[in-house]
Amino acid sequence: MHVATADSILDSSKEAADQLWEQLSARLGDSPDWIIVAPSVSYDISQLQQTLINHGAKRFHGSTSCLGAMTERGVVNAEGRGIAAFGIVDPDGHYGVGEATLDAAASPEAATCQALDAALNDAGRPGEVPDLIWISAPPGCEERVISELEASLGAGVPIVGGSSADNDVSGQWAQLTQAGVYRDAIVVSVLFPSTELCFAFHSGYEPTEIKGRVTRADGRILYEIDGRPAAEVYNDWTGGVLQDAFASGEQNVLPLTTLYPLGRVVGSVGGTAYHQLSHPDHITPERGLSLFADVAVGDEFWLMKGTRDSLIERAGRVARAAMRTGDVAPGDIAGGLVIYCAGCMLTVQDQMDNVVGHLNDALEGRPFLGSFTFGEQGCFIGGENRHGNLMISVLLLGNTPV
Amino acid sequence: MKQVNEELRESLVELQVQLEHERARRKEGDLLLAGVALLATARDPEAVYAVLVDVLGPLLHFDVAALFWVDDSVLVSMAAEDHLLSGVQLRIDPALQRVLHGKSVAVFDTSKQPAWAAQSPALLGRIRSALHIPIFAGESVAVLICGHAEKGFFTARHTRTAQRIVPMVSAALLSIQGFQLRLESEQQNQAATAIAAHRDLLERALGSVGAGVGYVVSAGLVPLGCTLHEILADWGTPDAWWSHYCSRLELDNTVRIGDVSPVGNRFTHEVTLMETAGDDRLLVIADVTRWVFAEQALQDMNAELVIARDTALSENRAKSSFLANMSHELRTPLNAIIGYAELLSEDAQTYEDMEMVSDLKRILLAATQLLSLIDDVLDLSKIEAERIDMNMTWVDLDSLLEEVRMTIAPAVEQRGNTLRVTRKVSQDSVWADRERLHQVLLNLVSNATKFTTAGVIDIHVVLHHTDEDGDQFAFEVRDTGIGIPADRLEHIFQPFSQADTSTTRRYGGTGLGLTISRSYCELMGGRLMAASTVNVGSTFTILLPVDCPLLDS
Repeated sequence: MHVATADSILDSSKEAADQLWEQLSARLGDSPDWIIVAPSVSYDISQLQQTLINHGAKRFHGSTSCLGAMTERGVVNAEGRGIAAFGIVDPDGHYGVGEATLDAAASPEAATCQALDAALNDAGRPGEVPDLIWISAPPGCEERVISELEASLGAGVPIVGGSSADNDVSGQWAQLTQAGVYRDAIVVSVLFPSTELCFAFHSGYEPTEIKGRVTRADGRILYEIDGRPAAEVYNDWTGGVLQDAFASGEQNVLPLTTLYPLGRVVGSVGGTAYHQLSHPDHITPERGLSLFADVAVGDEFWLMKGTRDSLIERAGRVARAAMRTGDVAPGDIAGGLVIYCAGCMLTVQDQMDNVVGHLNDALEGRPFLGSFTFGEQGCFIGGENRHGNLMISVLLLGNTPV
Repeated sequence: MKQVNEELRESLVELQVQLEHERARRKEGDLLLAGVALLATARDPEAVYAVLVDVLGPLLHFDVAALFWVDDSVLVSMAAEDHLLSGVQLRIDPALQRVLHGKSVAVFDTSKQPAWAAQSPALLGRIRSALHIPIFAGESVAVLICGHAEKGFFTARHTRTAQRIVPMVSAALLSIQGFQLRLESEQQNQAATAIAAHRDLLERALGSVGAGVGYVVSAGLVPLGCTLHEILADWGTPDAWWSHYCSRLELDNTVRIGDVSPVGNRFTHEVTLMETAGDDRLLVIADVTRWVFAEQALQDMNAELVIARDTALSENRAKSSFLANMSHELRTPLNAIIGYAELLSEDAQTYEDMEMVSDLKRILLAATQLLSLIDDVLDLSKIEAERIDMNMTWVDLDSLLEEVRMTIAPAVEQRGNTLRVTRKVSQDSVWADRERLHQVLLNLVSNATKFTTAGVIDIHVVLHHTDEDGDQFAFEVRDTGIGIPADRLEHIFQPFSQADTSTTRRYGGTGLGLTISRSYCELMGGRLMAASTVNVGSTFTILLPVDCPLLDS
């Protein structure tokens, strides 16, 4: 197993992809078996995809990332433009990438199934249980993707990934693979590496003692908590963070709520609960809250609280948690993939170098690629695969053959 | 502090999970070791298959299993209990090639896997997911295939477990092969080679579960393979360990040895000494140091959490102490305001300035309410700061009840209620703090009056008996008022909590009375309980010991 990252902030899409390939080939010394690509939407994604294919990239899985990306060398963002990649050379492993568009499939579940089968066939391992699934999807149907993957594969396969993102939540996100460029594709990679994997899925937030039960909801709209309009309840809980928005009629509350997400208990170990987060992004006309995750009547929400400091340190700590879970030291790690919530990134944007620094400390300089996403998918310590907001998901690949 | 708590919480979760994994590994190890012993008795493939199903069933939870041998380019089922699997042939495709090269392979959907997809629909309906485990017996390879009717049943966890099983099963098969060789052939070298290979595989099997094995012979401890050397590396030679600890061991018993090694490392070994068919004895040493450390770390973590909790409690007491002092500071000027307002009110009445009288009444009412709130906060703060001294004495029941009745009578009449006081205990006095008990009773009767209109309020003193607490005085305060919903009943004892938020607005009160009352009852060695039915009424019961605890002791 050999791993390397590459990055570029060049203006031209072709030149950026050329530079990316050049760095990756030089650092890996061979053609990668699997590549993860994270470009910002400022690039011509089709041009990037075609250039990578022209260079001989045989298998890649790409999803747009908010305002660039990050690697062990730093944040890759020049005025919202940046692309980074993570390549693996693993002759004894098997990797496959498959995709299906929501537009062409009957349902998100059907698209997921189709993408999974295509990925397994691409890996030459049809019907076999992979060690891990890496997914990308446009924001909106991530829970259904995870649910379908679990229905097909069983619940024991870890699912990690991030929702495609653009720079201003205007819906410009995209996905790309060796087969095409898409606006609404479910992209699935199946990993059968020759080495150990370890992963962790955390938030940088603590539960408060405030909680309530959902009494009216529809999809991703949370209308009522404990029989009252959700936005009003949330405003009371937070001591008035939405007060100004109420007064001005502003509906977009994404920046106001980043440090106070809503958390649902996913599981508990020894009486200590761990939470999946939902990020309120808009106030609806009925004073409900729209979230980046599905919500159901009866769900119990806790008000969570975070700080800028915890968001800065957290990525490094999640990487350490992944190593502890896998019982490995940084020396046993070949490299890693980090999914870091774009909302968190925007909150601590001026200190993202410190986020990279904490990751480098934890991984002792091993290569990593970090994407900034509009939804995070990961596997909790109790084995539950979930989609959440404001989360950090880390996947580390070992360097010792199993 | 917040960050420390957050890290503590996370570390605690991780440690608990690691301990669970460690326990699962140990359980798995125990089952595998038991399997080694059982397989040693098997003398033919059918017997091996039967033992395998018994041993692996609890680990892999399969529905059906079958043993397959390689025949040219196909796998052929040799031993199976389900007739559907008898005689089944699977073409050796790339997935099965990987199995034959030593990798366990899980298939989540047999209908999508090429080798399986060619099988009959009946078989695919019976086996929707499959786990393929390679088994090596000398030169030949067999495959144990476990099936399950549920799609996606087998996962990476199963393949990891299977990978650990491979050496154990292979060792057992080789043992059979070696046995047959010894019977059928006089060629000692061949048998010796088979036995050596057997020992190697046994060693690998035990090594895979963190245990080393060796023979105790007259010359000392002879390790099998290298795991025992690794476990006992701190002693230089296994013999050095043996000579130091052999006196602590008991035949056929597992002994736990915790000590410091010659190079200063703390260790914990679980050691089993077993008799063998010959003169030698078999020694199995499991290094459980890491597991013991993990347990200790969890205990330390819990201790840290206790300290964190105690610190938080101490901070709460400090806060309460501050509040208690502040409340005194607030009461002094407030009493002055009330006093001067009363004087001004008298003057205003003298001069018949009714507008001024009305305004001053408002000031007096608001100030009195504020004083009442401060008094309650003061009481609660004293309780939380543990600065309250109870003056326990024998309290005359009749005079206490009469005093309560007299005090509350005007309020009871004002709302058209009837108050009844009954005493059905032979004892004349109760061991309590008179002032506090009076305050609690007054609070309960006052609440009953507030929430009842044109109804009946009973103060009933009886003897209450339970197996757990024996006889206790029960002061029951019953009303026929609005009642409290069941889901709010326990909350009413929380500070600043009433049955619903509108209650305070409608009925007044600080929301601290019941919190304080319950604390007082507990400080007097008793309890305060509530039962209620909406629109029927509520009953609050003070339970106090019949005897003076000091006299008892």
